[in-house]
Amino acid sequence: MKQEDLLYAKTHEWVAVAKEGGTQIATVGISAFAVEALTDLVFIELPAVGKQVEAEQPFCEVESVKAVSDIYAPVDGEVVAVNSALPDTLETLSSDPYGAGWIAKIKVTNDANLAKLLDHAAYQKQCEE
Amino acid sequence: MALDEALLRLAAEQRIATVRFYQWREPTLSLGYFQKLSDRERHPASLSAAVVRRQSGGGAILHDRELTYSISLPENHPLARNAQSLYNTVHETIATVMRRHVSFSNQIGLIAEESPTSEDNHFLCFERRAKGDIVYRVSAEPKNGKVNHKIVGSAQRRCRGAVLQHGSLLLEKSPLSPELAGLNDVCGTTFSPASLASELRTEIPRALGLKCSPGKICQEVRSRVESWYNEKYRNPQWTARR
Repeated sequence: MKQEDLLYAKTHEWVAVAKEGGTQIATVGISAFAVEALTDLVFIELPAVGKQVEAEQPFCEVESVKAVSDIYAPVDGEVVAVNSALPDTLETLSSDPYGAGWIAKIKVTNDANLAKLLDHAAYQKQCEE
Repeated sequence: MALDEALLRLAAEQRIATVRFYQWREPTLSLGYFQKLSDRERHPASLSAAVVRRQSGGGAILHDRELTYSISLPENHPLARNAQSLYNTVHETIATVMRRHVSFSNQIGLIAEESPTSEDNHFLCFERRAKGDIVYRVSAEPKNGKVNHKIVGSAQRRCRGAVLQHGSLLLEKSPLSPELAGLNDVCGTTFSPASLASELRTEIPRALGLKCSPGKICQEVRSRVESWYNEKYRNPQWTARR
């Protein structure tokens, strides 16, 4: 996915929204900027499929050599898929954060959350501050 | 642990930074956030110690004959964003203070590069090696195959708005972790936790650009601490969640 086409949360999650059968599905991952700041990642605990998540609340945790970090849900909804290969291939979060490094897909239940997300230019500006 | 979590929330919500030093009432094993409780069977010597689960990551620490610190920084602090920068700045400061008091000061330093991954799975933090850890380098032939002794290790918890860095300064070998030598054991020094804390209380805030003054715990924080202490950190379900 092109970084320029994605939406971003202030907490460094990226979001790609697609329509599937009349519902909006948000694919979520974490930005290259965030991955680099965390240093080498060693563990991720994925959310359970079916879990109800709330925008701006933690829904997943990742551990690097130095830190445990929360990953926040960018939208309200239900987790409908997770990247189950990710825990065994954590290097893809660094090598392909916007593709093979996706974390979860969330069925969006509240469109209003999407309006609060940043576009690429605004997110880049935040990272440079 | 409950107070450290409350101070992390304070940093996130009110942008108040804190630097804290403490010791433990009894020898206690703190598990890294993602470690399994059952893994403590891998370290029989510490099985009699009390156990608690931290918010921060990394390996288990046996808190005995050591000094623990915690630093909570709001996200607008220049060092809050990058995990390694904060780690290195705090550790460089601690190493500088230690070097003032030892004969072979150049043997105390920070690990410059990541170690082989074979060491990452050790149960104890002080058996692991990561970039930025403070070690005492053995100059002559390594004894017991060790080329260095890790004497300070730290780990972080990051949440929206703030970061908490926990760390342990190992001063002396504990009967509950006899394989780990501390600063006094390898340097022949007589550091006490209080003497180190006294110097670091000035030096760490200076290195972080913080104007710190001794503070009392406000009622809001105290309430959270009591709640988390009883409901979380004393709760066997929290300790055994993995």
